Amino acid sequence: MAFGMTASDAALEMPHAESRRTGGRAPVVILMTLLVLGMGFIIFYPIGIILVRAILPGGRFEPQLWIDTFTAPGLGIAAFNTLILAVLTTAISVPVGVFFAWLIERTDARWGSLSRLLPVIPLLLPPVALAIGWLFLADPRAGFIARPLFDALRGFGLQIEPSSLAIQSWQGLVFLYVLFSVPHVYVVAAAAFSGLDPSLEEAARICGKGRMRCFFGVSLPAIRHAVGSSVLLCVLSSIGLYSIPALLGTAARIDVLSVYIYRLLNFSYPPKTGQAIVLGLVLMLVIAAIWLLQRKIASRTGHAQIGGMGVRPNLLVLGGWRWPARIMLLLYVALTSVLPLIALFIVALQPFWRPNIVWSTLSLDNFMGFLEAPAPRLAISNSVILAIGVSTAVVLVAGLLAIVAKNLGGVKEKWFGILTKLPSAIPHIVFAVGVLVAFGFAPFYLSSGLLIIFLCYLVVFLPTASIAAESAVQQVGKELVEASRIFGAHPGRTFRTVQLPLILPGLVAGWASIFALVLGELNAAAILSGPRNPVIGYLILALYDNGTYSQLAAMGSIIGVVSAITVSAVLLLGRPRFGRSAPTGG
Amino acid sequence: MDGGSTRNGASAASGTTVEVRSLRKTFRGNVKKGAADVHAVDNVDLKVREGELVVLLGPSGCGKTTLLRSIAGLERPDSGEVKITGRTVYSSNDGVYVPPEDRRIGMMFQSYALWPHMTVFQNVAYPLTSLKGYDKDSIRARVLDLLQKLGVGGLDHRFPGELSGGQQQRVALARALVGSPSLLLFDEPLSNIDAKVRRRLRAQLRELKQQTNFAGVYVTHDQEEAMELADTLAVMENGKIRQLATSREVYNKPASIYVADFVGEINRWKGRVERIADGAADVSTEFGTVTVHGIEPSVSKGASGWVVIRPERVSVVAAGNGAGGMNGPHFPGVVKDSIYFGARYELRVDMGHSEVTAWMADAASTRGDRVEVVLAKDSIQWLSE
Repeated sequence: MAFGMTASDAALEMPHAESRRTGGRAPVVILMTLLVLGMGFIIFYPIGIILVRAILPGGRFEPQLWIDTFTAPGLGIAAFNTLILAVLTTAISVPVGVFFAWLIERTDARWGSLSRLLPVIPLLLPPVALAIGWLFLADPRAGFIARPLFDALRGFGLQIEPSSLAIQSWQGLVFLYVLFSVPHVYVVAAAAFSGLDPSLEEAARICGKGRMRCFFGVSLPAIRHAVGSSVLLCVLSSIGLYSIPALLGTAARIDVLSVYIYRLLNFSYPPKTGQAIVLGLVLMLVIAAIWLLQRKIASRTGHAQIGGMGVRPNLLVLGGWRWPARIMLLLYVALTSVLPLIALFIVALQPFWRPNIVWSTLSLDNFMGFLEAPAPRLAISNSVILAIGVSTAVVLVAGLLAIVAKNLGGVKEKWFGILTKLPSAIPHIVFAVGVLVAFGFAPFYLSSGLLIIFLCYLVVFLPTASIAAESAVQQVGKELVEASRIFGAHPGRTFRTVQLPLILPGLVAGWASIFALVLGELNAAAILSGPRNPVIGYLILALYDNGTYSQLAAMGSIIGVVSAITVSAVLLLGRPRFGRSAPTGG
Repeated sequence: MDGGSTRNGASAASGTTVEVRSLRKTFRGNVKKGAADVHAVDNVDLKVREGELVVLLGPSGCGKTTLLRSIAGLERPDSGEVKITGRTVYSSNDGVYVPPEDRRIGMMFQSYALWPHMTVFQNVAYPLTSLKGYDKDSIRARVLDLLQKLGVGGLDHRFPGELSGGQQQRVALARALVGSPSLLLFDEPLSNIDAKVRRRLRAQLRELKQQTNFAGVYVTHDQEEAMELADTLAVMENGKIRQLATSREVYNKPASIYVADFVGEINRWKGRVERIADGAADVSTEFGTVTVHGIEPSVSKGASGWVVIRPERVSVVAAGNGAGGMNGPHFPGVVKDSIYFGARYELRVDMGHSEVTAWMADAASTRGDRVEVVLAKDSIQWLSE
């Protein structure tokens, strides 16, 4: 009989199965417990130190500290500005990002699988490079675009005050915040759309709904979960964003909280660490509240799942709208990546920043300078090592935690979610102070190595990775995991062979954005990095303070190129290959 | 198939593949929302012998899937005992719970649950790589052979997303069979495909069953599917098994009005026992008095219940056309409707205050005709309330 092994063999093997049971599960449970405890320590020890210092500085409650903090001039306006920026950014980025995701994943606006990467191209460019690039492009006096534009307008007899269109303004800030946020929204929404059963949309189309009705009535509600996550992501990242307001908001006299806190620590003497910590605590509570609200909304709605039934993606035909849609995507890529990168390159090749290109002076001197000088070289290699290490570690941790949380279910799952998001409630700079105090000195003595920066980033980027991982885990159908267990796989193997590969596309997207973020991170770097453990962020701040713009541009170009190559390679290799190339028919 | 004769240990002695004893599983209702507890599995006993396929049949929410998942280990019961091939895999008394991955079973899921990121080959080979005694070549040979047998040969390099529903189903079946598990579980595996493919797969499943003689538990709400596949049918209601018998017995001798109603179609009329003697009772109904034979001794005079008869045991003849010669009581009526179903006619006849449905190979009567309805004497049954 061809069915080979029979019930008798099965019965004979039982003792082995029994012995494997104890051998197979215990290590997994122990490892997971250790992971959870370890992460818990890295997150909560510094936070605990912050709490103690905020509430009980010197062992007792200090009302004066709170009074000073909240009566300080400038705080109100900084908080108000932060709020306005977060709301405007979210209101614009979420619709744009979701719409792009829908265009690419669900309609024939995409061309080839490569176009799926279009909206994430801006992720290749860390926000600091984006900010510097746009400074070069749209500075009212010396911007590559702004200057010719004003000259042309003047030629037509229009007298326009240059500063009214400056990048150092409210419009400019919102513009850059949106450019920065859209890809983050896109990543989450695209993952959800790609896992969505196309028959939902087909059903709507068959019922006679138009393309737009189909989008708003069916596709959008079906990925509510992802939309909710991206709203959260947007709000959190706008509140925490430092590089753009630091470089451009300062000149426009638009203060935001992240910059305000940085000033408390770096530009006052003695540093007002206490006030910074109190503000950090308050921000933490506000963001936790927003997060809980999002959870509450999300829990009331379902979400689309990857089922065990394979689905064939069937793209919606846009017809006449196809090219306008594509042009919109290309324009977006130009604004976020191509133009700023070109500006960076041009300035980097010149001895100093000027609005016109003098071909005879172009040289690679600025780049050579980095290669020859030991400190910048070390900073670049340190940052690359950190970026690879941190993004890999953090997405793995986030993926594992998301799976553990889902297995636990119920209230425990909720708490896992809250705890992994908690770090996003703390501005990087405040957490970095916590980390420095917690791990920099006795008994750890990590203050001058890469490890302390690694630990800080691990926590700082955990929320970003967790949001991506949770969204991915939610989409894996329960039966796929159960099937793996039924067919003899222990939790470890189930994770490795079923859960991990299925959430990998989501994790890879998270990896890519975190890689770029780490490479251009300024905020924690300002606290934890120094001449002995330099990273790119530290170098950028030094160059910006010195006003050496051409070297700044060279550094920006290097970040851009390194992340572009790495991130695109990763996204190409990590994209889901299954079912996507499915032939139609049959 | 040499499996049965060489079994070792307890399973060989008892010949029992699955033994479920006093199993209970309750889903706690949300007190805040005022939802009551649901007794999904309520003190169930069930035995699956070697080579036997037990079909759990019932409407949705009757607990059949929870019972299946408890056997699989995907659900942890509250109390009771589950043994698979003589090995205790769950016992509330002894605190034993063997997780599903160590129960050595195969399962087909309602959603197929094929892993979309693995090829057909990888999907089917997956259970074998958890087992000992299989090297790469023998895995390859076995998987390809099995795919061939199930009519999906040559698809091994495809991804599940590239297959049709029927093909995915076969791949899922191959995956369930490949490790030659001691027990196969089926969770409504055919509910997502169209009727024709479903029939073919059912026939194929029967064939496989004859070839490999696997023991299995099969959950479905489709009674036709249940009767085709079952060696033993377990009809469930509210977490309890209401009848456990062969399809034939369940159909012909339903244990209760619930079972009679759920399995096949049946004519039912409220009745009251007026007279009882020698295992035969005269029962008064809306359309007249009927004599029912083979009454249980426990039934006494004055009892109320149901008189039931299957539609194919009812004949309809034109009025005054010699119905008296047929074996059974007959009642006058008027044809309300006559429907042609290809293999049979369905006649609905109005008998005054009640209606009867008859299935006949041929029907001369049409709507409005006056007829005599004959109930086959041996097929009239009494079911207590």
